[in-house]
Amino acid sequence: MAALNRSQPPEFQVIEHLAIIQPEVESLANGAQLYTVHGGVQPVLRLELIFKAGSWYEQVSGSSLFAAKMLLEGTQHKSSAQIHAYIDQFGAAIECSSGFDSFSITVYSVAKFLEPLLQLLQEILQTPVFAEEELEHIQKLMLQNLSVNLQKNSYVASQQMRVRLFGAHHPYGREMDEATIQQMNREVIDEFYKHFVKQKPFDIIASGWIGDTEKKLIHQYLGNLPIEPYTKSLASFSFEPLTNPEAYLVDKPESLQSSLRIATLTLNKKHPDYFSLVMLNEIFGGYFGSRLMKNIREDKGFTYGIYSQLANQKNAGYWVIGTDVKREFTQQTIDEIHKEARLLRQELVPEEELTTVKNYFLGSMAGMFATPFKTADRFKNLYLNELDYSYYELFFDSIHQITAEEILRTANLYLNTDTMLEIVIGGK
Amino acid sequence: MLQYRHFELANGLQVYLHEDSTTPIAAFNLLYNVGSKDEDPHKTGFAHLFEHLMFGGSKHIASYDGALQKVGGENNAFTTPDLTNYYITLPAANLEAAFWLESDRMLSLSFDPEVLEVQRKVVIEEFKQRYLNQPYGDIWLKMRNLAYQVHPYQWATIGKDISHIEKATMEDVKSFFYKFYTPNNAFLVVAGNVSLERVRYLAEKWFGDIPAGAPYKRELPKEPAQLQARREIVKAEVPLKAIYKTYHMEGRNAETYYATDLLSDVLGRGKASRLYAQLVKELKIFNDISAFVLGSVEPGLMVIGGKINQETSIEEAEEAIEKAIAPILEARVPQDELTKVKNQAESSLLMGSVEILNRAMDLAYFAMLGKPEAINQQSEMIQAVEPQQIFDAAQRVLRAENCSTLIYDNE
Repeated sequence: MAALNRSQPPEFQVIEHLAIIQPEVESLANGAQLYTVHGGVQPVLRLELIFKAGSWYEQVSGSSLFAAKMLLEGTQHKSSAQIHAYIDQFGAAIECSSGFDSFSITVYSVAKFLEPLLQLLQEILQTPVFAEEELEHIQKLMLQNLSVNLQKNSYVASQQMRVRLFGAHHPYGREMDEATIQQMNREVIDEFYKHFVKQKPFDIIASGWIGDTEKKLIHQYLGNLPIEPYTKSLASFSFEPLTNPEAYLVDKPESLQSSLRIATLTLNKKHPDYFSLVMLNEIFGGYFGSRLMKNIREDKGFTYGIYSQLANQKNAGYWVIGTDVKREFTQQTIDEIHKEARLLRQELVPEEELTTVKNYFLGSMAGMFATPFKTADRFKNLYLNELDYSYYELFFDSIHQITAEEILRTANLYLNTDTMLEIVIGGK
Repeated sequence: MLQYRHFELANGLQVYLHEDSTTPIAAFNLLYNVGSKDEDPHKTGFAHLFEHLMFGGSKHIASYDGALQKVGGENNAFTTPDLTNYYITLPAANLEAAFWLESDRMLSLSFDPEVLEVQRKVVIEEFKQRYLNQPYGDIWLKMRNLAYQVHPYQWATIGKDISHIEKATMEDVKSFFYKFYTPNNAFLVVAGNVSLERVRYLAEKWFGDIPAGAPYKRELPKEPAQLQARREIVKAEVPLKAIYKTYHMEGRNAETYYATDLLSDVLGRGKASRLYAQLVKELKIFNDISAFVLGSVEPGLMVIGGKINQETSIEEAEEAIEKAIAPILEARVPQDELTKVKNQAESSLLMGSVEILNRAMDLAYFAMLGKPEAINQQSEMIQAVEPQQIFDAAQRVLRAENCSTLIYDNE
């Protein structure tokens, strides 16, 4: 056998084809759409009910979040303790969460316990009580947790970034501050719940072990929930973000590190330049081999990690560069970020680097549909952003075809870090 | 049931294959049987610093990450007191690249002094980011130090002190590598749509000519039984006082391990657990509280604790914990409560094995424990636990003299 040449990489393939898996779809008797991704080797499932609610629809800041937090804390027939005991006896979990644009209830369970959990879900949805005592307790815990979070530079930095990007009254910018928590009351929560969740339209994404038996149960318990039209017009909700965000610095001499954010509003997923922007972001600070990571961590050792990320909500997106960096190197890190951005605006990305990042990205796309839960997440992304599967096909093709010239063009259009918002918590 | 095949190379490398034809992704998991417990007490944090250096170039490959990214792969690694684990996921067609990359760094690192200097700084920033610049961030540094007096579990993987990382030399790096990073001290698991013949061929091709190292004989000091309660009060500017109690318990391989694990679940897993239901919901003394076991290979710890509500005193909180624990020492746990924690454990096992990478990691871990077959016995062993065994575990573990109490006081 010839001696092994370890300097020579083995042959490899670039992913040429994306095997997209789509859910099956059917209607329940009440009109709710049931999207199913069946598969997997374990008898476990995830069931997600999605409502058009969340911060975007709030009249009072925090009402959607509180509704989510209180949904498992009491119905007309069960106390909070009874609800949690009921869920836990099946080793299951139910999460209620309020996002910026949606409100969801997610059940994680072993398949054999689906029926009793659906029975509970019905009860929770139809007869929550939002009791005063539970509200007070949640307020107290939230205030205490807030005081702990406010000691974390990274928490404060991210929160101030959103407030300053969108404005304190915008649903994406509103802060869950002390006053918001303290002023919350039952009427407000109840009002929100009544208008946007209770007997309001919803759809279901079910993934994992969803055979005929499980489907039948979903039809039986969720298909008979009454659904009525909205009493408020959803079209009336519209917000404009700020135009001139102001830099923000908190000097904390006792901090060993500064938490830094450089951010700007950016394109949403429907914009024709979005895929080019994704690749630009990847090269800039999106993966471990990115320029920021190589420069600030692997070359200078100023930080454990630095990233650049596109965060897209349904109605607006932002682009953020973030890091926790040794305090005395904060300004130098900021300068290097601007320098790396300038380089991307001025020079073509070398072919070798572009090939690496493309192959890396395509390789990670190959795992996008690797489990039923991942496949469901991919569908959820389309569902929430009102996109269809051509999005992933286009995405995949654009990554294949993107050129260094296109990256340069995109950088000149969008990567102007000098005009971005700068947040420093710690000092510089 | 997780199916697997096993073979061993002449140099002692243990290789496992878990076939799964349903996924386009392959997982490649290489576990080295070395953790922070194997460190010199004067050079702590080294196993973890070393993990960083493993990405700084090997004998024939300048950039590990770059070479892997080029074939569409992703990777990471972690260090615990017991082990150091490196993992890759990549398109199954490119599996050979993982063999190429991992075998070259097992063969030899580049030992570039620049890499040591930079990663030393990176790890110091990691130390600050995770442990020093966060409220309550140093819990584990303090808790381990209080609970263990002689066993190396007394320091956290990040190390006792930043100065140990500052002082690490290239000589330390080299001797650590030659001592622990040998084929006979490693467990490789490949998972995905790949045949045994192919894995055998690739393993022989890339790892076959790496010489075996001197066998590492682990001789760690044994922690003596704790005979007296210990207590440490940390003064810190934190918004909420906190209390954490640790109890010595058996190691991962002990027959009674699952009973003790379930005991901790009865006490403090989830909102319906005894501690949470009583102390957070009913009496409103704690902001949060939980109980769990560390799952260490050698005799480990059960931890009970959480943050205390603002208006509650430490004494009141401590007394409340004792009171909430007491019944489990006096009476057998009711059958429905035991069924609850068994169902929770069962769910976690199933949910935890959805991803192919998790299955590969778990298999490597059980192989390191010396009983790969036990990966498929977990469920059975959990179901076999009886109320009497939980009762016995409680008597064994939850004793006042076996307990170390760490308190965060903000007054």
